[in-house]
Amino acid sequence: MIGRIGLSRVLTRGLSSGEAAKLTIQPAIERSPTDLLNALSETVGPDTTAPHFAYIDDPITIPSTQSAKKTYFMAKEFGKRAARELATEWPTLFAFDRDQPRLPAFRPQHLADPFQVDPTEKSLLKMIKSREVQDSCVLYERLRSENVEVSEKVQLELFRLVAYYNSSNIPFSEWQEWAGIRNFGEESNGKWKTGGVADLLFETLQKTDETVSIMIAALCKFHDSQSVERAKELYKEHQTGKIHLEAFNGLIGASSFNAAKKLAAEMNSLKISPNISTFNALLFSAAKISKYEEKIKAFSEIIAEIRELDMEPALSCYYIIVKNLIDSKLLDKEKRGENEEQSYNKQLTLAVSWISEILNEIEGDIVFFKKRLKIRIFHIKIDFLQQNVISEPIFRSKFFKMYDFSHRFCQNQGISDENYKNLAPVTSQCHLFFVEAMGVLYRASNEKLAEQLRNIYESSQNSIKMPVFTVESTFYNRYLQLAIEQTPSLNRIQELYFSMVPRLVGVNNSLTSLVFRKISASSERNWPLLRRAIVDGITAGQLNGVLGEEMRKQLSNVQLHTLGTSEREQYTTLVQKLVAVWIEFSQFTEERMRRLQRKLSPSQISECALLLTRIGEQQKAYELLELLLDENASSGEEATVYPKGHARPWAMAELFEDALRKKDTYGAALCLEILSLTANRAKLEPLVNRMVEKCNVNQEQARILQGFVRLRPQ
Amino acid sequence: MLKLANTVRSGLLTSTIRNVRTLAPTVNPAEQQQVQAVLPDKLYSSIEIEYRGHDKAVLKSYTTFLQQVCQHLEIPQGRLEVLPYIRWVQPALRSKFVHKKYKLHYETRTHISKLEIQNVTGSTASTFLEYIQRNIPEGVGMRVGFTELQPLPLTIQN
Amino acid sequence: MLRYLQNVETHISHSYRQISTTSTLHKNRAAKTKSTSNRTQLLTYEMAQKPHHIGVRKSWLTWHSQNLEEFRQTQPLVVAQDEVVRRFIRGFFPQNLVVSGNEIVIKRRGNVLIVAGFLQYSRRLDIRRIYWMFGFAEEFLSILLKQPVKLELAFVESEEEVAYNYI
Repeated sequence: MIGRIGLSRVLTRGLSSGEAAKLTIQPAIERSPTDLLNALSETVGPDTTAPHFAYIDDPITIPSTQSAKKTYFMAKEFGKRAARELATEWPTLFAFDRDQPRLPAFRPQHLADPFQVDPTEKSLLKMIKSREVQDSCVLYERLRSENVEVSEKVQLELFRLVAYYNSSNIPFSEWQEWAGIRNFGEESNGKWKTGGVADLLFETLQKTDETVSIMIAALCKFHDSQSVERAKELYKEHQTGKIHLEAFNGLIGASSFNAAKKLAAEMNSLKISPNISTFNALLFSAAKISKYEEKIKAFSEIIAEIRELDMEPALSCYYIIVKNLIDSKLLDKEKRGENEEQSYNKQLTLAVSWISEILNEIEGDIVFFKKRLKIRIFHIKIDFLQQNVISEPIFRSKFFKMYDFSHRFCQNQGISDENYKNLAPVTSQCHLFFVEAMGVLYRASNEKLAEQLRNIYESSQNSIKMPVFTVESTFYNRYLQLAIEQTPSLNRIQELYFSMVPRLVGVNNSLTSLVFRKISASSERNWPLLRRAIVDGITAGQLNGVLGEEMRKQLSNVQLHTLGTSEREQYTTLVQKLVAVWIEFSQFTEERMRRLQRKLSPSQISECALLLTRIGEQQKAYELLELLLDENASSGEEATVYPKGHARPWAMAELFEDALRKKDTYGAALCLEILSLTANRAKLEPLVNRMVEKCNVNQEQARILQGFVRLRPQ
Repeated sequence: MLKLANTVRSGLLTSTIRNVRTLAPTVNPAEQQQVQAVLPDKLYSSIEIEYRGHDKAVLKSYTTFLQQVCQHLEIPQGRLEVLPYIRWVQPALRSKFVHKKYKLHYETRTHISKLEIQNVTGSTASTFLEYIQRNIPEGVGMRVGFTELQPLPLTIQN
Repeated sequence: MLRYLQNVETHISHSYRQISTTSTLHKNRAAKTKSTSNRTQLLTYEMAQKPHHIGVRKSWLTWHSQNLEEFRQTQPLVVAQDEVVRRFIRGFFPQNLVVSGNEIVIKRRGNVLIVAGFLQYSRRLDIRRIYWMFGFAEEFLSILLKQPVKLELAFVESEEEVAYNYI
């Protein structure tokens, strides 16, 4: 068993045993089962150009609009729920048992039915623990009706649960199992249910500090005027005891600012120290002040209070402030009058300065800002060198020297990772700060601060994340639109657009129209961006509205000779596809497809014909143009052409020129006929003369043409 | 202190269905606190990883993966052996009745490769093996053999 | 590897006795498709290779380690699971199958079963319905087999796109 290997080792060790030092073996490093996975996940980040992993990995099933994302995710989840229902209903059909260890995740079970379960305290406690509010209420009622003794402790537990959830089941945002409905499900907070189990329990239990506090807090959480009144009465009645912090928070949040200040003073006298929720509630009540200056003053006061107590204001405080810095009446652009416009601008500037202060505060905590700034300077220098002189051997050594220097510089500054603090969520509304702030910055068109905000959000120190499919996309949408608006360079727009759409930002009408506007306004030519905008428009269903027209216009503005060969191919396929789609839409004449039908308008036809001639499909273009002249096409059941409107003159002119160039008499005549629908004789005569000159028109045809023109009205 | 190589051959059959048993010593978490400071790391003079599959190309690509991992994580790699395949043959009679001479030939080939890792500690080994096993391709089975270094028993030392 | 029982046809007829003495009638017909006179039989790459090319030009449709020497702990279980999955997919996506649902690849990594293949959408594609069916199929198979099952089926416009040649 020892073998040859062991023996030789013995010999070698024996020879060197003199200097053999005492070997210290390090203790074994204990690792949890997920340590390796965590380490691996830290090495990768999300790829914003790739589709989200929740979707089927096929180009046609990847959603590009926000609504599509929601629909697909929910559809998949509903499928899963259906399967799970089946499995809970018939467990004997799913009784394959070869898994070791036993996996309860694959053995779903029905929730305990309150009518069938044992009427004991234990089952009630179990229901309370698993937060089945309505079931536990039913069970409690059943216990009472069967006169089973329920102890004070259990009643108190039940009261806590029922008061917190207003005697209804837990809201969607707290569902643990199904992520789709947790993110996409919308629910309002609801009003307090009077006469429910909560009220009943409140009556039966002794009125201690705790129960009264719970009741007050619950009445304020699910507030309407009645419940708030009741809460205030309860508070007044219970002056002898000491109400808890949460009740104070609730009362403060539900009352006006002056009353809130009084409550805060009383809280102080009772020696209860406030927490962030208290300040959130104070801010919330301050936000109800209608006068603008007072509101701002109140906000500043509260922030100063927080600093006094040596606490850090959480992002949720900033959220409430930023949300209420601009009067909601002034937000809508159409409804603003002259003097209102001024006050709006004033408020906007104030809001921006507040936000800039807040962002600097947050960054001051994170302390990564300085390092980034310094490295940025050096990287700019390095990039410059790299671009210009990397081939020269002399300069190359200089380049390396600079690089070393920057590296050593940062090391010498003592900027290390241990100094950084994490930005962690304190309440459930902290993440909304980012969205609101970005909204204000969008209104103020302040790109610098928006960039700063985005860097804070994406930094590794920040652990406050918005829900991906809903809130985050609004955040990035606002950022993207702001960034696109402010930059003149199409390359930068292309960079931004390609990196963010459709993963972070869903395709939407305002974004696409903004991109088209920028493309028209710019003198640069960027075919990939235009193509991508159009393709996204196709998938987002933007073909049939104003944006469809815009697409046609943009495509006709593209100068084909500036495109490369592959780009020209792309252009051709794109135009063919678009025209085919529009024609197909117009041909939904059957009953069941009628509501989907979009008839071709004459301007649409002329533009499509123009595009087709540009890519070289004359035949199809003329077929399309003939539809304009065809009476059957625009009237009756099988109509595919919109009867009103007329062809675009510039399109028709270009088609005419093109026909002349090709000496195509028939085509030219067609264009002429269409033009004659709107133009008068004076305009048509020169065209006819040119036709007679250029194309080989024989006597007969020339006579017909001139006669045709003479018949036109002046 | 004299040490003798004690060849401990513990076979660990890792198929791609069953739960993977890693090398980390299964310590009772309750006693972990007290034991942690005391239990020193195991030392392995060599770990032999033998992996089998039906497709030679898959095994070859997995071999390059393993070698790259050793290179990047700076784990000293020993020798790589590609063994000849093991063939399992079972013929079936071609005809329903009689005609023993005519058969259908069915066989299965299992290709085998062995890679050796030298001089690692227990923690390294467990992390390395966990990483390897999480990335094993489907249809490949792995078996690991350890050669541990242990101090001589006290009876011999004294 | 044995292309287990799926393609081996048995010639046993139960209604009357038959004795056939020619050996040519008993050729193995597994995995060999008959050519048609007007070349309508569609063949994918997998189908086009003869069985003696297995391991060379032809690869397997299931990948698991239970057929390896010294690893055969749950060989029959895996075969049964495979069959269950294939029949489920064939029955659950009836309009969407490509080549009558034969070309589904099943891979096992650890405890996870991954089902890969192509589905076709010949008529208008309703993506919401597809997502619902995927969610249902994944959850159903997972609960049935007590192992996580992931579907990685990709979409193809028509069967012609997976054709290698026609015989």
